[in-house]
Amino acid sequence: MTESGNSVVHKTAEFLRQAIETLWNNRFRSLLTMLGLIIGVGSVIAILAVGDATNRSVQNLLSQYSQASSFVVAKQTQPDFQNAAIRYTDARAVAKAVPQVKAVIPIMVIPMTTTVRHRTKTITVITAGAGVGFDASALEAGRRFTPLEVAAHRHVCILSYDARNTIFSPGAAVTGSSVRLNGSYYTVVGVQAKPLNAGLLQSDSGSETVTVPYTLIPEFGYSYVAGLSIVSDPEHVTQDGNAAIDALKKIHGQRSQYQERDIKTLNEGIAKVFTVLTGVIGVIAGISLLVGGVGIMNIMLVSVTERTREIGIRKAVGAARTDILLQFLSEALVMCLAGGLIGLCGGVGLAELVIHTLIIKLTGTVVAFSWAPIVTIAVVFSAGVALVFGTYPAVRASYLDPIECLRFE
Amino acid sequence: MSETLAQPLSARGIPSVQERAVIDITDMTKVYELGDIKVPALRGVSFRIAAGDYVAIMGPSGSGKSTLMNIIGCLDQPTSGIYRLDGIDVANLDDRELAAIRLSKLGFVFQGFNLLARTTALRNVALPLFYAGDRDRDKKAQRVLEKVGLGDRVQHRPNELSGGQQQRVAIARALVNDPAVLLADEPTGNLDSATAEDIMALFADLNSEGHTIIIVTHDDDVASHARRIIRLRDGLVISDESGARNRPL
Repeated sequence: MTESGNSVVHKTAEFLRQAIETLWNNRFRSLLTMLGLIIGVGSVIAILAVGDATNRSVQNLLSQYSQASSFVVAKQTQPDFQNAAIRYTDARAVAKAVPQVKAVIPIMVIPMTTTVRHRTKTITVITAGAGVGFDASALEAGRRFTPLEVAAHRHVCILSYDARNTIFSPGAAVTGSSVRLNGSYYTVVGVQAKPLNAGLLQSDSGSETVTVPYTLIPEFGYSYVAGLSIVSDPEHVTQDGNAAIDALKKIHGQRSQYQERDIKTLNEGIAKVFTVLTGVIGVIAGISLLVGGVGIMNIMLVSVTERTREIGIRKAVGAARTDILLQFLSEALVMCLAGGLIGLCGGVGLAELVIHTLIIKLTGTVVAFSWAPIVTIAVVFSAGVALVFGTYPAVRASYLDPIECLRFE
Repeated sequence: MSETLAQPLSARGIPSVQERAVIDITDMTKVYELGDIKVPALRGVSFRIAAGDYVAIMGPSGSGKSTLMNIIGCLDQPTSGIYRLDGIDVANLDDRELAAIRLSKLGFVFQGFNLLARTTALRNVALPLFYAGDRDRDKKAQRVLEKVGLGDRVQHRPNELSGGQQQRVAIARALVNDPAVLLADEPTGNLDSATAEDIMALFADLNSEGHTIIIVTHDDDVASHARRIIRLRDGLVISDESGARNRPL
């Protein structure tokens, strides 16, 4: 049993070796035969790799925003915008109405002036609560606000990377220093790290920002805010955002309209787009592989006819049907795997080119695609094409009558 | 398949040459059906060929000799009658079993050599051993090529060999499985007369070593090398002469 098992393995290896030899002897024709498959696999691989890299780049950019908070704003177009506008005091009411959330933080974006080297400069001031809020950017130095600082209306601030470089000379330690905004002094407690380069997706505004505790909003003279940041946990972020909207409607009346945005929903939307894209690519891939496969079958049928005499000789010296079948299937398999490999290399090359010329401009970062699924797809597709389109010619070859074959000129 | 290749039959423990029939054909018919028309190719043929014999099957074209050769070679099945090859009733075997019989019991030599182009002499000769799953095939093929006088041509491809050398490769391929019967179809048909003589001398040597040889031919010169001549006409045996051989063993 082991003996015969060994000889089957040995024979299969030998069939593959012979197939490689045969295809190498006819390499130009083999290459032409593979062309459809090479282009099919190559384009699918290229598109998948670019899609994967783009998806990862976008996810990477979004990683600086918290997955655990949503942002609720009043809709721009609605019957009574004045009535629907969110007030600073709504934050506390919403927090009471939706007790499961960790915090409800009123967000305000206010331009303020500061003086940099005797020149007045306008800087964007953003409000935040204690700890990590909506902006989860890493800190380069210092810390985030403490609950005490927020509750006690302390004049503390966190500088963005660009703001720090504008206001202070590069390299100097700035935590503990003071920044003057609209005439008041704020102690710097933290500095954000340099943000990821977002390429064309990056907006110019808001790179020079200063974050201050939200409890200072009344002191600035505002009673209305841009929106509420609802801090909860990643699983319930969308749900809690909607609960906050319900609470706001109870306060402002059911005619008021709000919307909530969170990174989780955004991520899901992006994932949906990529799923649809993958589906479309799958259909295109199917068509291109069908065309490639039909090409391979066509040439294999020609090859079987051309090699009729060879088949006759092989059968006369004792080859069984399965031997002939395996011979031609091996050739189909070797050809398709070679084609798949060439397509894989070409596709990866094309993908690298696209990623390094286009995607880098769009998203700023280059994130490598993952190899495992791409190699698997190339191998599975090629082997599949070989089996689907190589079987018929191989079966036909195996059923040829040896006498007819030997008579064939 | 083995060491016994070059040894006389008696050394292999096979009973006396005359007693044992390698081929035993009784009342064999073969009818081809071309649409509704039935064309009889063999109309009741019977004969026995003993192990170690050297037989020529002769007949004009249309006599049924090609049909007979195909059936003896297990490439085709008779319509009726009994055919025993080396004691095995092959009439009712399926395709796989027939392939196994061709592999183990028969060696073919064709008029057109029928070697695989682009394949070395060694690999051509080793082909039957490959299908038999023999891992020693290169060594064995080398030995048989040396035996037919081509020990220095093993890595040559058919297009690098002369007609006579190609036919020697074909004979080596037919011998490599140590078959019960060596079946040759006009083996000298594509060769000049001097080369043809060499090939016939090789057949005579092989026969003297104990190989059973059947040559299908329409050439009297070729047939004269055989010990026995079976003549066919219109699908029937018309004469069966032993002792026809006019040359010493």
